[in-house]
Amino acid sequence: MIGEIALDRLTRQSGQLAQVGKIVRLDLPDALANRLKAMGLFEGQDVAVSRGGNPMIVKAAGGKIAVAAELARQIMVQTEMSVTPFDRIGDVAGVAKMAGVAKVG
Amino acid sequence: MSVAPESASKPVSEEPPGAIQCRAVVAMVGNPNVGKTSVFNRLTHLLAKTSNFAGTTIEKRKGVVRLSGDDAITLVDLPGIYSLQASSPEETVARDFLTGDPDGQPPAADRPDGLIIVVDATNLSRSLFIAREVLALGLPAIVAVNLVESARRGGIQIDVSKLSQRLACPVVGVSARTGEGFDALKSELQRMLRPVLPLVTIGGPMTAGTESAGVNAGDGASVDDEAQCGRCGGCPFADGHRWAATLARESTLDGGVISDETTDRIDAVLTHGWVGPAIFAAVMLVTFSLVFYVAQIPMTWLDGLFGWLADGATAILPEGDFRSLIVDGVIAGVGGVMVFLPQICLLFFALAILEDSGYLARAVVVIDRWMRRVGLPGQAFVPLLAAHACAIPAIMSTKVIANRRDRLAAIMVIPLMTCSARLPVYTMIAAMLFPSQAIYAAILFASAYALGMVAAFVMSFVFKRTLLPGEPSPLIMDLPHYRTPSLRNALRHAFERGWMFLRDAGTTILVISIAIWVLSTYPKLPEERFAETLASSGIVAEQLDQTDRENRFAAAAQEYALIGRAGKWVAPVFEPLGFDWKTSVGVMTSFAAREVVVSTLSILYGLGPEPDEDVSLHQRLSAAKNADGSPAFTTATCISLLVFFVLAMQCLPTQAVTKKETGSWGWAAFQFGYMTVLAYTAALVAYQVTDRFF
Repeated sequence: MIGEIALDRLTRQSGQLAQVGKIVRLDLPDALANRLKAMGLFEGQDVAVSRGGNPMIVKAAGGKIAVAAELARQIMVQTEMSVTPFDRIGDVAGVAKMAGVAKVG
Repeated sequence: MSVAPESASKPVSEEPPGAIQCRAVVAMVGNPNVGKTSVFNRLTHLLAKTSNFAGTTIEKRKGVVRLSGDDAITLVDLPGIYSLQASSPEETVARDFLTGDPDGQPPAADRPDGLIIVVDATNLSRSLFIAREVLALGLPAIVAVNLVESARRGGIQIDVSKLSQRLACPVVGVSARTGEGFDALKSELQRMLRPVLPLVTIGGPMTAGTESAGVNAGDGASVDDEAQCGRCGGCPFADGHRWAATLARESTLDGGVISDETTDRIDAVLTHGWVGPAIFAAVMLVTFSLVFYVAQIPMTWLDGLFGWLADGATAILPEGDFRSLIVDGVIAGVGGVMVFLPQICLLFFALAILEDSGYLARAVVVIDRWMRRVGLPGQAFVPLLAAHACAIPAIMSTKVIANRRDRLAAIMVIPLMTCSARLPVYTMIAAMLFPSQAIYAAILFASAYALGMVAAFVMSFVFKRTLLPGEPSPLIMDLPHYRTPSLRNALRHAFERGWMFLRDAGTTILVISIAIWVLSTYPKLPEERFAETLASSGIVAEQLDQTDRENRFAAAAQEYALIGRAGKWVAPVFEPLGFDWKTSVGVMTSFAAREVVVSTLSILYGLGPEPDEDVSLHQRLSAAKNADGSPAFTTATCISLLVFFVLAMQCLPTQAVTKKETGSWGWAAFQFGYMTVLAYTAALVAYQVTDRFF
């Protein structure tokens, strides 16, 4: 199932699964959008949620970034799955592998 | 012990006159958290000059790097940035410094001749993004891959020569912690600034000059082409990051992605819904207790030093006004403030350790939600904590807050936090109220601290609704990997903060000390007048012993001087707060520096300028009677005095720093005004309420 949701909705709903998605759009003023993009949250980037809530913590480009929920609401991500293949919280290597695969492809 | 020996063996090199002009300038660029400052500190042997970039409050650190022979360069540490897009003040400053001002103004005099781009070996893909933007500027550059040693421990090997080929510039693996690679970095620096030497023949890294463009083209386009693409509004970020990720993958030998499972596990605890705040509170409590406890030792030394200086000056100088100016004005005034220096240094040392370890970023995540409710950004918590030592370095450290509204809100409420200068006043009042009940005294202290904090948050909330409308700018923050903090950097940071305090506050404090001395010395009390005063109160002068007579004279002289008259004149204003005229004089003398109230009260109540023990002062104050025979310091008066001193803006050096950091006397005046009104009102309520019930 492919769906477009806001980044702040992309949390570990069951408390079990790392949620991943691909950023499709940043509905934010240029200054804010550019800051996020420079830090690695650009259109096409794969992100994984490390902690939900406000501020939420997302993983992208090999780092962790804390983002206020009000910003996360304006970042649209495309998610292909509501259930990821990783069954452990913090299976970062898995997420990164997937991100890597996505980039090559 | 942790300061590297070379900083001792290499003397502070005073720049020979005229040398600055011909010395090459190299700028350091890189993301925040890549250890840029550590590299800077190691290259400059911890000797740096801190100033601001023109027209901004962004710090500019400049130091001299000695290369072999007589060569030396000036190194400028640019603020940590993620891109040159100029979406933040830091980025604008860095871009203008590198490219010259876009508004057609002449480029800065110290425009760089070369660059050191610092990237993080443990996170190449993130930190290389800025390298591409910066390399596109076409300045000679060296890429320093920092943290190679911790990357190695994490199983990552960086292929430096491959990276060098791809980037078409020298690449050196360094570790600012161990010093690894710094000799190589220095020789590359020397080579970079000597274009006379044929670059291509020098060896490995440089040979790539011609082929590199082709290699880059494999990823889409060469560095220059892509930068131009950025201008045309395409997708510079995505391209840049993909380029960086590819390059990082290719130049990383084994390992690849560093396992951050440990980071994740620690983060899960430290940023947990309620465990996080609990740990935050515990960490801060322990840090502060430790800082204040350890600081006592050097503070005693400093106190002794100033006492020794005063004694020395008294012995050398002939008796008279000049001696009084030096001893009572300059040494006592400056010494009274300098005594807080150890606390300030230790506090910033502790904060630097916490920041370096990566914890401070997590603390911001935890605290941001709460701070935001009252209109302060999460980043403001560091200055607010630092304010518990002294408001001056705290206001200076609001530089970490990029947004002006947020920064102003923080600066306005910072002086409400209980700084160390209030402690002597708290101690005096606690001793009067609870002379032998340590527990109650402790509760009183805690309440005074709490009152300050609550007032700061309430006022900040009020400002958000009135004067400084709007929400604090939303949080976007990089969470660095956890690292072993560097003692060397922390020492450097503590030293720098201490020096800033001395430099910025020192002169103001000196001037204010002299002014207060003048006000409390002139006009001088004539002897005959003193005799009259004694006679009118039925005291026979001959029956007084020498000390008693001197103390009484000091009290009468203070009353006679300008400040005493002013105190008597404003006394009716403070009457509803329960202050007698002597306390009003104390309030007047302490408007420049609050701790002065203790010595003023001591003088006015006839104990002489330096009572032997605090105990004697509180006993004297407790025993003091009004004209009608009622005690001068009732419980209500003490509470009212405490509330007033918690909330009032009684520190001229802080006002000077507020002016400097906000750029206008208006804000300083407003800060003074609102705090005075707040202190007066709160003390009034406190007095009237307690007076009714106790």
